Amino acid sequence: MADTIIFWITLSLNYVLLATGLTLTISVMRVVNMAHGNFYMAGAYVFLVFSEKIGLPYGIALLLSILVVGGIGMLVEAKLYRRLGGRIEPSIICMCGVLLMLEGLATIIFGPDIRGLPPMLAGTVTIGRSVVSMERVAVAATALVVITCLFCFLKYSRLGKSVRATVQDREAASLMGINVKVISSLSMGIGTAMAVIAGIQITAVYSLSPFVGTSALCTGILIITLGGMGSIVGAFVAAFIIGFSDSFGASFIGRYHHLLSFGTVMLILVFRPLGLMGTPVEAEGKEK
Amino acid sequence: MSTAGLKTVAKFCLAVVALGLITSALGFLPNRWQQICIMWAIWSIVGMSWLIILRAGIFSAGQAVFLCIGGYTAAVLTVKFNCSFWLALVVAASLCSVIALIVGVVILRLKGLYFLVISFVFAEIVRLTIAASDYLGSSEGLFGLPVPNSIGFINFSTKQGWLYLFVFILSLAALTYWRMERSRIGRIYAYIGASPELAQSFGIYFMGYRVQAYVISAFFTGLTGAAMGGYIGSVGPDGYTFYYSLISQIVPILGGIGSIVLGPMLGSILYNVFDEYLVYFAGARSLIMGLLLIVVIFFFPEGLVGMRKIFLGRKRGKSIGTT
Repeated sequence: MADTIIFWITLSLNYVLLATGLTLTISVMRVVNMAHGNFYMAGAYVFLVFSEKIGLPYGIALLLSILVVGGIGMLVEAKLYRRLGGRIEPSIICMCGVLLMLEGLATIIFGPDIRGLPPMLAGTVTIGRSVVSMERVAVAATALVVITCLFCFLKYSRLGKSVRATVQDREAASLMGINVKVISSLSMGIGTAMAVIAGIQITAVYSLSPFVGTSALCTGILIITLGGMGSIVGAFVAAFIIGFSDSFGASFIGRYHHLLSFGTVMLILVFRPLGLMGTPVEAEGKEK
Repeated sequence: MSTAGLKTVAKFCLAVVALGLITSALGFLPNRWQQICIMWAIWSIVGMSWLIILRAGIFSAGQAVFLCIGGYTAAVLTVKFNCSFWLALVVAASLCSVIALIVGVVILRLKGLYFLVISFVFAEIVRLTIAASDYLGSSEGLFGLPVPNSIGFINFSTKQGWLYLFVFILSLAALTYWRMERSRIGRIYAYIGASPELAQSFGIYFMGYRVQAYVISAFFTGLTGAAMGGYIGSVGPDGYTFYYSLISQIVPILGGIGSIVLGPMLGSILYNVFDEYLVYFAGARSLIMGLLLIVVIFFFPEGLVGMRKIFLGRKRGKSIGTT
């Protein structure tokens, strides 16, 4: 039981990373970043190259893979998304193109086989009466630190305030002297970096193949739909709900736990079409 | 019967005879090319079905779910209940329509992006649930769908027999969608696609029309899925991944979304030529498709149909994202 609770918290904290990255890109770019799940997958593979092929220590490999994949994300934003002028359908299709290309590249370079990632820390710790692997604790701690940093960045720093202003009203923010292009690139970079961290940590627990991107995107979307698009607090709450169904559901219900997550989200959507924390004003902005 | 009515009937008969002759002629092609023709017909239908709901302003990212439900229904009925393939085909298509009706009433209320993401999640959850079910063959799928009995000279143990079936379904779908596009319904869809609120203020109950489009699209996709299951002889969860939902978008976008029948048909030719030569290179298929999609979106937003303006000097056509 205690084991499952630890797993629930670890998984949920990483789901928060995945979903906040997605919700950040959605609120700034106004389109769903369909390639988010594949940035998650690409991050894990880049990390694999840095840590296993080149043999760098865990922390440095993590940082480098964030830089590389985050850079790719910013490049996609600047070179592809921005040139489409914010039109929704072409942007989404373009993102689907990026998704396919990343999946194809990963399959060509690394092959379609399933593989594992090296653990962050070896060994176990004893919490109460149950023995928990050190890695899970470290993964949960890393996720918590990153989430706190992101939250403080958005809440208190000048740049973070600019991001929030851009989310609220792009034109007004631009009139106030905020360079919305830079903010847009930055948000995409941060969002992708979140996906990379979540990817490295979740695939270390589960497994890595070029096709994990779709299920990650699926999880991310379930969370942000449940929590309300554009709401970070909503994503936090929803990640723990979906994480609950993925950890407890998987151990107590069995193989049909996906239906539980989907059923929960559908039920909430019937009563609250904008999700738990979504507000009508935000949703109106997304429709433009 | 009036002269105009007789003319229509004569034209219709002529078209049926012409199609039959063309399909028979295709029987002389090598097996590999017949296979390509069948896949061409399948993806044309699926592409058209994606396009008809786009007309009503619904951007779906989960069309593969209806292929999946159709295929599995046909497989369960024929393999587990020894049902006739033809009955299974009808039941599969009807079941897809009913599911689209039930799901559509809930999820078509959601606005733009929400519908997109929920349709994607719905397709993925259905696939994962099927892959988890032992009765449905878990991740292996169901095998050994029986070959249907031959009807007259149409023998379903040859590829040509299946070609007749798929060309028949394609003609049915193309005729339906073409008539819908040309009639009042098509114009209403265009209004709804442009602005649901405006359409509503003109007294159009847009939810009704959206559900209608969704159900019709699900019917033809499900029918194709069931027939495809029978043709391949097996169904498995790997055949209905998100990649195939993307193909249902790629096909009409490559062909051009300006024309509901011609666009998907042309796009399907291009897609199947690439697919045939790339199927043995793992990953290259996804890479090339992704690249092609980005190139089309940036440089040829009107698709292959839009190319005719280069030759014929037509005015600017319809491209994705403009309503």
